[in-house]
Amino acid sequence: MSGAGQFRPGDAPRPTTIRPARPRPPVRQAPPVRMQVPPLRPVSATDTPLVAVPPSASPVPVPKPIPAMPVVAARTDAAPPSPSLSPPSSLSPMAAPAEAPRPDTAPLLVLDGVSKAFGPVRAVDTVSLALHPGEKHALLGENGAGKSTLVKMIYGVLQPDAGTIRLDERPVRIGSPLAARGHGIGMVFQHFSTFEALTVAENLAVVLPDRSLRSIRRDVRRIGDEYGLAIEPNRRLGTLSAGERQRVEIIRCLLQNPRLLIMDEPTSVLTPQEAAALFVVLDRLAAQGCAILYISHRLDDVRALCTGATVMRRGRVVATCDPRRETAASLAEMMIGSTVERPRKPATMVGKARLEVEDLRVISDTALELDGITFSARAGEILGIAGVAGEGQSELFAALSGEHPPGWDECIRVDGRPVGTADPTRRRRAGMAFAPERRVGHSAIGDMRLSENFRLTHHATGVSRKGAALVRDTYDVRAEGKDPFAAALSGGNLQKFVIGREIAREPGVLIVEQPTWGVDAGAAATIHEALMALAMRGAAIVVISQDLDEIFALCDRVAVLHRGTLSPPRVTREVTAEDLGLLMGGATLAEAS
Amino acid sequence: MLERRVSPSPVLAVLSPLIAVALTILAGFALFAVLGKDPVRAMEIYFLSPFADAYNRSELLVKAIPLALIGSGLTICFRAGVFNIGAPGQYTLGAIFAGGVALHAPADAAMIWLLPLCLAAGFVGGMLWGWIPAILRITSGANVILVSLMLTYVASLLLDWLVRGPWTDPQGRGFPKSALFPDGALMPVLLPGTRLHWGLVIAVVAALLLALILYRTRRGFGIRSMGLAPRAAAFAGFSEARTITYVMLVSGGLAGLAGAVEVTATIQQLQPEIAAGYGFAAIIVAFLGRLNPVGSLVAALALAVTYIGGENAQILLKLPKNAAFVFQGLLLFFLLACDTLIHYRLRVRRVAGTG
Repeated sequence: MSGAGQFRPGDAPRPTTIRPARPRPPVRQAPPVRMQVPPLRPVSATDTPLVAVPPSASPVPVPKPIPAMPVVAARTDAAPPSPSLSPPSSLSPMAAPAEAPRPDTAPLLVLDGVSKAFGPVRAVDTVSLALHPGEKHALLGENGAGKSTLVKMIYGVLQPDAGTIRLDERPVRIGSPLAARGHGIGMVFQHFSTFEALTVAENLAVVLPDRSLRSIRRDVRRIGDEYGLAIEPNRRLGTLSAGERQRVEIIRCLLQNPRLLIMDEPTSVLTPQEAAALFVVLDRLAAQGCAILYISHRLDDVRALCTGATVMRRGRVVATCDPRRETAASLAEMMIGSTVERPRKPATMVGKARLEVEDLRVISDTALELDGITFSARAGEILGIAGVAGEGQSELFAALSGEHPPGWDECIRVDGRPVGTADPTRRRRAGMAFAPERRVGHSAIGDMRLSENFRLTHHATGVSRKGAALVRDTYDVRAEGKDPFAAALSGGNLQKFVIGREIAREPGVLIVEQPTWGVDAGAAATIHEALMALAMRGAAIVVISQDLDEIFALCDRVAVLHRGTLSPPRVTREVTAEDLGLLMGGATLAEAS
Repeated sequence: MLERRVSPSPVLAVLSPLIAVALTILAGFALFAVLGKDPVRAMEIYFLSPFADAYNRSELLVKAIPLALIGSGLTICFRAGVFNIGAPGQYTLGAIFAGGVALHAPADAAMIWLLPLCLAAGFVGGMLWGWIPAILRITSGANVILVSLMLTYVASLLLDWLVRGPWTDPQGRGFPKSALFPDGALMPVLLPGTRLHWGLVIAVVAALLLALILYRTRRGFGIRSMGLAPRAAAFAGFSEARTITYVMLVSGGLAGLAGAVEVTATIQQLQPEIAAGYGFAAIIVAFLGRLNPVGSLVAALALAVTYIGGENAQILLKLPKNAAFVFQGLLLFFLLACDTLIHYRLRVRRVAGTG
């Protein structure tokens, strides 16, 4: 086990600090609850629920993993020694008595025999579930298990065919996301529904119609500072990477004072440190009584954060458990119904350099996006490029794929041939293949059939008529119909198709960006196996990924991208996740090791 | 409420234009009722009189020819997401180029080559006019819609100046008209006794060729990709600049060809008014034909019905001239509205009261 699971918030280089109370800004809505809540010690995610401390216990945190938090102590002391243990957050409607998730408290949300069918497919089949205030509950299951459908019903996007949803023990009909938000249900989506041409603040204003842009901008900056979710509110959403967009989504929910926060794959684009910091945020919210429904494929995250879990398979609940008492393997077994082995790349004989990048520089209208990028990837090798979202990954990908050729020929060489000025087609003819991060609209076209999507990257080198069908068979791409539209495929299946399509070219050099982002465990394993097999056949593969687990599972060497510069690659087995985390945060190699 | 469909509904893709036509008829009923005309009679004149006799039927085709030529060219443009709405300008330039060749051909030239030369010149003229927005778009990011539209006015003023100035008929007693084209530059009639000419064949061949390009060639694949997802098209290696240039040249060229056909076949000289409005109506044709070149043949016919029907209604019902245009506008409006149903399904539900 490696990566995120090993982290404790205390390791975070950027501990979340809480500012002293200050006069409330004159906004109509109460500012987010976090302001009024006694800051809690950053809780390691495996700790027992916070507020369930007996009255006799000292309110001062026992261990202080983060030294730089005098404010915490001061504020906590100032908290009234209320025997009810509720945080002094009476201002907030939802921070009503914050209870630990105990079975005897009244549940916040109860699903009773909820079902939803799409045609003949029973996506959700008589699912029952109870969530208590302050509970951090995981919803586990493979893609297509029905998690998204279930959650969409809670969030009012879909209506159940049968069964009831009860909030505060009263049956409710949640007719729309707006109604859901009215009930205090917030959701961070896996796929963000946003307006690319608008700025961050404007996007938030769309869902917060009664707030002024100014107050939103201020709150975005404040929340950004508090939780390490820094984002400039005046940037256009279209210019943000997937990771940055997710930050916006999280901020959006936090702005709405949720009682129940649904998180769909929230950590997939965060560094371990950022994920840990997010867990602190979630722990704090839970301590205030906010229930959290956490959907993730990252079993380590779930084990670290959640106090309960519901496992779904084919629309039904197949198990409930306490993830802290399970292993990642046992959880995965519940999800899939059989044991899974995480593929690990065997050490390979590494051959000559197939991709050489030398002093690659990319200058946009406004800034130096990439500077002096130098690396090589050799035959049989998988090279990982780690980094937090928005450090130059998209620019690097576009420079390597030829969508934005860097302008001089010698800075990229494939098997010794310079291709720096070539367009994607010429690079493909030189033996390269690419799979970008975004599936729909970049690597594939939703409104085209799979056969045409296959043609997208094969037209220059000859399309085999059966290519698409072959990829579907080889990589178990599941979809209805003989030649379905790409938009009809689930994320995992489409990604398997895209990766399979690129591997079908038998490329000498393959560049992939976030190959398993938002993809279920089964599909991720398939993709990883396929990449390893390709490397074994002598290709050089570059994996640009924000997922350290993936980097550790796949890559022979790893380099870190930070603010457009690349650290020298190092052998993966010789570095730890902590080293990489520090490099991602901008430390130099000397500091890291 | 509109709910996105997982995949586009094939049934509605076919039904949507029919629903649109039905809705247009309904709205037409209301329109004529308000105007104080008998709606049933008006509909009869609009939709049945164009088919009443051989003359009307041939006129229908005569009107449909330029619409089909321009419309099928525009499908390729719109499919690429390039909104060339300057077809009237390209049409006018085509007419000017064709007219220029026809008027300046030496009298002893081999007559057999004159008409093809005129048509080719028209094609080139339209291409050049379509090329300008493409160049400006690629080099400076200028808006294709705006530039192509503005060039329409430049073109019509250019024609105006030519027929009032350098190209005026010396025997024309000062009327703003050129001399009649020489016989060799005239489009032969296809069906004796009518005005139906060989342009029909040209339009059908052009539409089939375009369909072939769009659905059977790599270029066409690149065009469709760019229209659906520009970023994916760039990723697939289709250069945006090249695609824009190509579709603007093709659609401009076809609009120019339509202009050349029209002046060599029906007008037979240059004059300030050469029915450049076909260029705008062809936008409707392209959409009505589901952005399919062959579909635009059918759509051109449908729109020609409203043209002929509108003319007949003006004569027989004393309808205002603009009623026909209102009718066309209604058709486009309903068509685009119904198209939504292909990708979205209608769901009636009450609006949640909370929030």
